[in-house]
Amino acid sequence: MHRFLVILLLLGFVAAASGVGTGCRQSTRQDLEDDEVGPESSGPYSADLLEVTDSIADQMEKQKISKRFIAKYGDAPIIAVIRPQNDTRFPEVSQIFQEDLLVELMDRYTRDEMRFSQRDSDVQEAVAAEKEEKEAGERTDRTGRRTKLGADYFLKAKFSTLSMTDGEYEDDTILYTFELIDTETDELIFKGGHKIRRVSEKSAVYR
Amino acid sequence: MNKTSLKSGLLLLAALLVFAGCSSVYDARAALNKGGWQQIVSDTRDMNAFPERDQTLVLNYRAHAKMAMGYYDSSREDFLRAWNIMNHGKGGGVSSAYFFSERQKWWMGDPYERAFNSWYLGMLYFEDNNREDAMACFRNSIFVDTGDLEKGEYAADWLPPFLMRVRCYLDRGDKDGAKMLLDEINRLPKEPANFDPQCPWLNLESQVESNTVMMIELGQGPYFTAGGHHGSVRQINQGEYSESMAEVFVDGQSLGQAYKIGDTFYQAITRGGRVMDDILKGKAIAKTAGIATGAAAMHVGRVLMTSGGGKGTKTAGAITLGVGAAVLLASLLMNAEADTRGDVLLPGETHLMMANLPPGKHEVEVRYYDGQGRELQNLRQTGIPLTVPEKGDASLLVRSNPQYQVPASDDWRAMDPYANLKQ
Repeated sequence: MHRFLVILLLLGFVAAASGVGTGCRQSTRQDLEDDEVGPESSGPYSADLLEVTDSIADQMEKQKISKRFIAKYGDAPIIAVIRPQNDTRFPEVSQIFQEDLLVELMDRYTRDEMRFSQRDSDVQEAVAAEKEEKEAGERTDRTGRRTKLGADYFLKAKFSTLSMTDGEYEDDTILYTFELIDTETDELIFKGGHKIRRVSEKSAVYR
Repeated sequence: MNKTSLKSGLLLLAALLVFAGCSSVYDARAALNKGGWQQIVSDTRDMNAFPERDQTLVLNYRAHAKMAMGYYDSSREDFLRAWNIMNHGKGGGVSSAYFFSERQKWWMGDPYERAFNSWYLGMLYFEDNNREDAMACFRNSIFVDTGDLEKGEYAADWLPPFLMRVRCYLDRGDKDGAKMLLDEINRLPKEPANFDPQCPWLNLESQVESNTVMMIELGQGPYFTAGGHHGSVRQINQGEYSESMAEVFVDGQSLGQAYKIGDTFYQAITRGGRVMDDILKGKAIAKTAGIATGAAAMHVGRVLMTSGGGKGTKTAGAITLGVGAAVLLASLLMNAEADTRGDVLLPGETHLMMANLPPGKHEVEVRYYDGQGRELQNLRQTGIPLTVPEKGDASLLVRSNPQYQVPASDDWRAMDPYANLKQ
C-alpha cells in the first residue's frame, strides 16, 4: 500500500510538472507566469496614439495658423490630408495616427476656423464621377460649388524609426512628425514632432 | 519493492512522458500532399483546436494557404495577426522549455521565418496598393534578419524585401532612397548560393525602367530534424525539388529567365548561433550524467539493502535507492530534444522577373526547368492574370509547386475562404 502511494505520488508529480492536468489543447492565457505575455499582444504602439495626437494638436494650436490665415485672407484655411509616409518597421501605424490627428483637429476647430479636404483616392474618384454627372445635368448641384476644394495647405504625416537590436533587446525610437505645407509656395508652415522610445526584451530562448 | 511493480511503474511513467510531451504538431506538409492548399485552409479553421504554443505556426500556415488560393484579404489578416505575435509578443512556455521539451515554448519562428512572415504581409499590402504598410513590412523583414551589427554579427542578406522596398521608394518618387538600398545590396558578398549576382535589376536605371515585378517561388524550403546526443542538435535539412529556374512569358512573348534573389536554405543555415542550442546541449549533458548517476545510486542502494547488513545499512540502502530513483526520474523527465517545429510551407528559392509592360490586362505563363535545362512540363502555369496600372507597379507572386492561384477579381481577393464550407 505504501509503495503504491509512493508510485502514485511520483506519477502525480510527473503529471503536474508536465502539464497533463491543463491539457495540451487548453489555453494557457490565464494565470500567466511573469515571463509570459499573451500571444496576441497588440504591441506597445496603440498606447502612444493619444500621447502623439495631443502633443501634435497642441503644437499646432500654439502656432495660431488658423487665426493668422483668417486675419490675412478673411476665410478659413483649407487643409488637405495627403498620404502619410511610413518609414518605421511597423505596419498599420501611419493610417491610424493620421486619422486620429484629423479627428482631434476637427474636434478642436470649427468649420469657420479650419476646413479639410478629403483626398483619399477612392473619395476623389467618387467625387469626380459625381461632378461629371452634375455637369452633364444628370444630377443637381449647388450654384457656385462646381469645383472641388483647392487646398491652402497639405497636412502630411511622416513616421520614421531608428531600430536596433543586440539579440536580447529590440530598441525602437519612433519619430512621429506632421507637417503643414503651403500648396502655393511649398513653404513648410509647421512641423510638429513627437518622439517615443520603446525597448522590448526578447526572451533568451528565442533566437 | 518487487520487480513487477517497479517495471509497471516505469512503463506507466514512460507512457505518461509520451503523453505529457504532446509532441504532435500539425503536419502541414502531409495535409498539403493530401488535399492541397484547401486542406490546410479547412484543417486550420478553428485555431483553438491547436495547442496555444503552436498557434502562431498554424496561423502562418493558414495565412499562406489562403494566400495560395487567392484569398488575399483574409490571408493578410492572418499574416498580420501572426506578425503581431512574432514581433510584439515575448513568447511563452519558456520556463517549461528549460526542463521539459523545447516544444513547450510558443513557436515564434527563426529569423528567416519571421522575415518571410513580414515579406508575405508586405507583398499582400503591396498588391492591395497600400505601399506605406508594405514598406514597413519589408523594412521589418530586413530588421529581423539582422544581428547586432556593433558586434560584427550578421547583416540582412535576403534580397526580396530589399528589392520590394526599392519599388516602394520609387513609388514615392524617392530615387535617393531607392539608390541607397541598391547600394546596400551591391555591398553584399556576391554569393551564388544566396542570390544570382548576374541579376540585371540590381541597379537604379533598370529599376526605374520597370513597372512590373514578379516574384516566382521554387521548390520546398528547409525542414528540421533532431539529431545528435539525445536529439539535442537541431538539424536543418534542405527541401528536395527538381525546379532550378523559371522562364516567364507575357502574352505569348518570352521575357527570358527569372533570376534567383533568395535561397531559403541558405538563409536558414547562415544565422548566428541560437541561444537555445546552448541550453539544449547543457540539458543533454545533464540528462546523460543524471541517468548514469541515478542508475548507479539505485544499484548501490539495492546492493546495500540485500547485503544482509544491519538495520542502519538497510536504511542507508533504501535512502540511496530513493535518491537514485529521484535523480533517474528527473533525468528521464528532462527532455533535451531540439524543437523541430518550423514553417514547412516556405519555398526553397525566390526568383525575380521585372519588366516594363504597357498598362492594361495581360496573360502570364511561367515554365519551370530542372538543373539540366529540361522543362518540367507538369509544372507549367498558364493564364495567370496580370493588370498593369497606368501609374505605379503591377506585382505577381507565383509558385512552381504546389502552385498559387492568382485572383482575377477584387471579389475573389475579398472572399471569405469559409463562406462555402460547412461548419
